[in-house]
Amino acid sequence: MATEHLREGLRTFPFSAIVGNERPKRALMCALSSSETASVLICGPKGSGKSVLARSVSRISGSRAVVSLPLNATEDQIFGGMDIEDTIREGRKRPSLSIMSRSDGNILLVENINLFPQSTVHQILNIVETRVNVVERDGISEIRCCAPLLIATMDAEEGGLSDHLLDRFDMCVFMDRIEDEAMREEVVDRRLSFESDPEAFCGRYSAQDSEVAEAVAEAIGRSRYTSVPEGYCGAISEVCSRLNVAGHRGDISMMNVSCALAALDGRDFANLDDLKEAAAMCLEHRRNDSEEGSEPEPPEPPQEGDRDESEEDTEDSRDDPPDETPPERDRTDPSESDTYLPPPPDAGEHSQEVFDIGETYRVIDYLSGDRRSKETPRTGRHDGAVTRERSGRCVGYRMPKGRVDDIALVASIRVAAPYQPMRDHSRLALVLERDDLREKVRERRQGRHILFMVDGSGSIGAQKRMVAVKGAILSMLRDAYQKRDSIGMAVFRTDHAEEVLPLTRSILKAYHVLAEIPTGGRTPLIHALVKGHEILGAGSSKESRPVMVILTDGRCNVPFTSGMKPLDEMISTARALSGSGIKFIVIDTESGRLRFGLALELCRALDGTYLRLEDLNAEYIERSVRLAIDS
Amino acid sequence: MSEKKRPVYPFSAIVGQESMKEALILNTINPLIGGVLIRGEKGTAKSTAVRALADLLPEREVVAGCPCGCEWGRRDDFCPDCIEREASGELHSVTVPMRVVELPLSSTEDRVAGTLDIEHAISTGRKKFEPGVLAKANGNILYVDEVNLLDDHIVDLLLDAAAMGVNYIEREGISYAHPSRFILVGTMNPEEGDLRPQLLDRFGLAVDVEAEHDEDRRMEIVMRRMEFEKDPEGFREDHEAEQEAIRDRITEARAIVRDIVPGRDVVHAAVRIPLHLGVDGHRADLTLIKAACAYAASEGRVEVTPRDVVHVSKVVMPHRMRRNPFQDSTLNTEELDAWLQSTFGKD
Repeated sequence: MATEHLREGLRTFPFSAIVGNERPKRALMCALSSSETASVLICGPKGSGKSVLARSVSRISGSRAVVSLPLNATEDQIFGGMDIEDTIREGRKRPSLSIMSRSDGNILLVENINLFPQSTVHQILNIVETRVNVVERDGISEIRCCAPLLIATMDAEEGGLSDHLLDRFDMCVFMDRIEDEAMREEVVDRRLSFESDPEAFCGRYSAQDSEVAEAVAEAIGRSRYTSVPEGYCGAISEVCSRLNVAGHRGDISMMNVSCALAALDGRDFANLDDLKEAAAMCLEHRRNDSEEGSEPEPPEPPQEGDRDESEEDTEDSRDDPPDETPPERDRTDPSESDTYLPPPPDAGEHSQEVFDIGETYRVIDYLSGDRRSKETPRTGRHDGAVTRERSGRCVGYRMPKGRVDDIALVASIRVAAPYQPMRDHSRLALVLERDDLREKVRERRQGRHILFMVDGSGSIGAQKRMVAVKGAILSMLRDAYQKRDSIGMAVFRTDHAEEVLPLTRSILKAYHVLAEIPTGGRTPLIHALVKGHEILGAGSSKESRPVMVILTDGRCNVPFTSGMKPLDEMISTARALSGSGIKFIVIDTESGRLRFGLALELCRALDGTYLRLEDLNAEYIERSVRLAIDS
Repeated sequence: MSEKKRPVYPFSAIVGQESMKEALILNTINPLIGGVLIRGEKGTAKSTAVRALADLLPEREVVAGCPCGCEWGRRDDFCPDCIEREASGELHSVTVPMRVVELPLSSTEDRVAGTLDIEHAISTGRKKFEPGVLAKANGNILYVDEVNLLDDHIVDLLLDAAAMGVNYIEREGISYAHPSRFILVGTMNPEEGDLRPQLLDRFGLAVDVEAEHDEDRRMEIVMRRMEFEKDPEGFREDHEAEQEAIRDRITEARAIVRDIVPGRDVVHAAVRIPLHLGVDGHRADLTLIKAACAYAASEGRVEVTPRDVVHVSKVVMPHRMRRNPFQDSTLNTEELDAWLQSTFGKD
């Protein structure tokens, strides 16, 4: 292929010239050596050299080429479909040469894999794992073997992959954070001399690179015969279960990687060091214990005796009580003691307090309304909204209804291609008829408009719930930042609701506003509903998918229309709003033993999603589920 | 083409905004610096400066007739068409000025990345690649006004191309790759939202511009603008001498910047500043050195010193300061100055 020189050639930095990063380098060598290992994920912050490392693989991969899967790739191009040129010529449907089929037996490089649509990532990983690509599109039906080595990179700052997708990677390694001055200088020196004279620079490292390439080639042959001694197999299962690795992919990858590591060192049996190294490469992204950061260590194998020592560190962390358990100690609040009434208005009517922001945590995907956080995908973006407008990413084609104004020309050509030999070609090589026309289905990966409607009344302040509320909002803001939603914030207290932050994508601004939210006074919840509807209604088209997150205990005690009972009016207003196109999420801030459940009633009337403040903490849910299973 | 018709406000006539002008000039001296992000409120001459830069840009020698503007003599960076034509011996070079290629916010994915040439497909029944904005931008300045409002899926394309200087296209039956090395220049009003962190990091330099507060200077700005609008050509002629001086300075600097070799002390300084500020990754270190060399060259020096590194750190570091979304992405200049003073001595 003519583009080959751009793909490899001199612009690729030599593998051996990469400073530090021993583990990622070793993981790549290992993946190349083992026919059983199909995927490696390289994680690291921007500028840490992920791409450089991933691309340098072509220098040690021997005859295997690196096939890039760019973000602009269309689905038919990735997985396969009909080839227009061949089909037109032959008048019969001909399959195209997809990226997947080109990568068979080669290396498939996917940079920024977290930025791809989740379904695409899922499909790629499926093919890589099963080694079969099933094509069913454009009238092409094909089953093909497809066994690439997938090397993917990602920077989790813009939202990582869901645990489910992460688990499907055999290995996951992290780029080093080089803090040593001398090493950083070395990085800079090498890069600069590479840029000023790539040829000379690559020449200097070519011997080292070919040495690595040879070691890899040798290990490929050997890895077929290497094995993990039986005594160690138990150790693998044990470390996996101790780190709470779900499923068995971890065990299997660790076994394969251990073998490959042994093969790389020219041994036929994996030893304890191989196991340790393999655990770090294969289990870090799969572990489910609370403690992060420490490296997973495999236990000593049984025959080497004393197992107690190595058990200590992992054992401890698991037994730690969940430290983020929401407080359950607010029972002293007088308003909760005996009356079914909102708290008295004097609860801070004159005193204004500003509370700190409580601790943050990973939030569950509250917008999808799915509370089974383990199964909930958490990719960087909300799935896009299909749009009727002529902008946005084209995600597919459809038969047009009525007038066609957003023609998917290529798709139409594809439809017409097989019929070309039968048509009249007096002027054009290709003739399209009206029935061939298809139109584009577009999708905008635009964030949502989320309005946080915060109860700033005295009942929240008096119970010090504001700290937790702010912590919750901050956690949701972090989430919104990754998904690039627009955020607004409004506070309701005393006798009105006030917009304190107009819809913005500047999370920083939201953060500053959040810190300053005052509390005190009564609870004008109806005003809040009205105001929220006004704010979201004004700045929204249908595509912005407005969401109102109401954080309250539901103890409405200010009527909107004088003379009405506040609670009744709240419910009737809420019912009226339930069909307004706004998605409502009510986060109940009530806690303690005695609850009034007013927020739940509000939520029912709004036809929204109900969550309790303490439930927002994803880790807490995971832990409580685990506790329930353990006990 | 319409940009040709309307006369451009001369760069040298822009009042103040020295750091913005300097950042733009440094990039033309060494395109490897990686562009500049200009942040500021409306009406602070952001767009004017970028468009005015077009007048000062040096010439480049490219392959004649190549839609990707392949640089003459850099065979490794040729697009597949140039490689093919080279084999048949029909390659010529031509000298063209560097351009400012604009990326409008409404651009669609296929126009940015390039796609199947439909006209060709219909008239011949064959697949051919139709180059997009990323091809035009090769070797030029890619300018995005209001870059923070750019759709996510378009930003993705920029990220991909900016990473390796190659645009890989896999669309609609077309599989192609061409060089796409561009100087990314973006302007934004931070009030209207953040920039995605990954895109932020792709900008070599960042400058914050403010409206002029000094009354006399504000007057000066208005007067000049009115004068320009009354008689654009005359105004341009009046400033031609100054423009020529800047052009000469750039040409001279471009000639010597290649020969500047950063010494140990410079590399040391470029590594220590990001470390001190807790900035991850190696891009900051490399950009500091490249910008320092360009700055030295802009002053006509072939020797680069740690002082140059310190000088450019004010534009290299600001947008890299933020380590989480809730931190201000501004540089605490006082603290930095104090530290720089104590570490690298007086300047």
